Amino acid sequence: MAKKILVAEDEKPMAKILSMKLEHQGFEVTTVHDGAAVLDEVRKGPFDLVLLDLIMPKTDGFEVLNRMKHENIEVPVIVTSNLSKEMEVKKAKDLGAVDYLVKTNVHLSEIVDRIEQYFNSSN
Amino acid sequence: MQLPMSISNKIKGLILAINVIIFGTAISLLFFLSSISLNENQRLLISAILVIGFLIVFMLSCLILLLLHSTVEPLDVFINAISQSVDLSTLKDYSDKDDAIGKVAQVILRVITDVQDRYNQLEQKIEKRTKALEESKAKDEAIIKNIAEGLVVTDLERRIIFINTTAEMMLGYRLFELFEKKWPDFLEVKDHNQAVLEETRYPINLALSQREPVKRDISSHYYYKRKDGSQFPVVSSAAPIMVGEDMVGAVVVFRDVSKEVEVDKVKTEFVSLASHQLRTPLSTINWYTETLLSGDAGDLEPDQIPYFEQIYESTQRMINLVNALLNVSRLEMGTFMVEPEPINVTELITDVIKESQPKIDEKHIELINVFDEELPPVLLDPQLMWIIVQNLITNAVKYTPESGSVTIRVTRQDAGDKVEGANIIEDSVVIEVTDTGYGIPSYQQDQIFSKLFRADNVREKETEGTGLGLYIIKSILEHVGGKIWFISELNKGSSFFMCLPLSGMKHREGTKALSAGNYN
Repeated sequence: MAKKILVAEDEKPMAKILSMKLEHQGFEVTTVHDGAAVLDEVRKGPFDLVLLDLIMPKTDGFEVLNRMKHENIEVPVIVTSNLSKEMEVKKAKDLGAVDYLVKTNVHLSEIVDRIEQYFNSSN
Repeated sequence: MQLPMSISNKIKGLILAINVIIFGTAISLLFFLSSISLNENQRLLISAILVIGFLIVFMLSCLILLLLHSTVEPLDVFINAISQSVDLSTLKDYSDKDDAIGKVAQVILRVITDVQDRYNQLEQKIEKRTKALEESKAKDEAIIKNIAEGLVVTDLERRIIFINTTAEMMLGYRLFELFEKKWPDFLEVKDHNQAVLEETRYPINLALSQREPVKRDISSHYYYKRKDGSQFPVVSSAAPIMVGEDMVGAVVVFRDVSKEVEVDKVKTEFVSLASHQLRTPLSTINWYTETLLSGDAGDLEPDQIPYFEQIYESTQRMINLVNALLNVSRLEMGTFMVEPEPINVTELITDVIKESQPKIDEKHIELINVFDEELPPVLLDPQLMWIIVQNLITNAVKYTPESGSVTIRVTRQDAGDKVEGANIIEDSVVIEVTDTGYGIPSYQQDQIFSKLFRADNVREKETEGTGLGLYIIKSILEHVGGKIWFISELNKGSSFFMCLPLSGMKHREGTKALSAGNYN
């Protein structure tokens, strides 16, 4: 059965191309454009993985991770952001993110590779 | 000055005294003879003896006085002349004589004239030197008073001896208020994070304990508290004052960096904003182009592909440039982190080579690896090492014409070894990247590590390049105790050498990790 991935990205062209790539690779993709919508979706669930942007309207990515942690929503999160400060990476990982990718520095194919790597390692 | 009685006067006095005593004695004896009963003949005989005796003594005295005049008196004149109590003309009178005394007088006159000449010359020299010293002192005082930096001079106990006008104005204190107070205890010094600075970290304490100058830059500025309670940022340096081998005090120089701190803050904010704002559209272009080229959005016409490849490559360059600018700003602010872990250097290099392999193959470049396989793992930050090695290798490949060669040599060098003119200070790993490329023109070799610098010859051949790669490598290596140097010959090639101590890099906290990328 296809893995279900929630893509949270406020830049719509990016969300679109990322979803397209993931669907092309055989994943089932839901796309949202703000943090509040991410929380709504993960509460409804179930998802196998969330690709989470950090700077988003309404609720930012850090707050999403924080709420998920407090509400014990155990969906693995890979952060895809253009923030690259050590503090930000550390904060996201401390809040439970399993991986952190800087968007400008990765190809779409690398994102797919990292997702597959994660699924393979967690099986 | 009271001079001692001269020798001739002493002798004259003695003779006079002897004559007076003998004359007195003779008169007394004559009176005595008249009172006793003697016949006339006896009285005449004794009187004659007494008169003749007195006359002999008197004549002897006259003779002595004559001798005195010709021998001892000139001696007196000589002594007085030497002790400068008489006019030299008296001595000149004697020097005109053609006897022994005259010759002695001539010698003494010559010596005294010579001594006087030398004395006068010395006086003139001292006067000249004193004037020069006064001029130099006035110049120094003018400089010290008018430099834009605050200047403080202390003794070995950090007690203030002097502060210049600029320091007085910056701090709001006058010298008399601070005289002999301990620098900088009364300023409540804080570090750039506004935490109270421990006494042991005061630059002046470091300078006095290490007996060498301590320099600070904008990345480690301090805050001083003025007399009125307000505080301001300063960059401060301290140096011991050495007199020969002895340390006698310290000098502290500081400047107000309020403007620089403000600019730095704006720069940081701008870089942060720019990085995020630029990265988002760049990521979008990057991913869309990648999708088109991969065929995920449908097949492209074959003649369209080069156009998309060009867009893709240009986007990669722009991403690299943004990452490089971010790294430069982090390096300059000293806020990048160093997280060392045991690294197998040759494995890391092999991985970097793999990344560059497509370009190496495309240009038919022969790659020669000479690795010391017994090199132990070294504590290094893998990300920083990746940036350094990747830039060195891509540089060599980029600036070597087709069918050239690139040699990567990894060796262990012991302390005291020499590698191409550089001294190895401690046991180190040395990475050498040698190419058969364009080389660096000799007139530009001293600028090759400057920010944004690209040599004239490669500007013509390779339009791509930011001129940041070598600057970043050098900055990183300087922060982690490493070193980079090179030799190069135009149109023959270059060899870049970098060394890192086997003891590895030291852990360093920072706010940002550097982004990997090829910036050349």
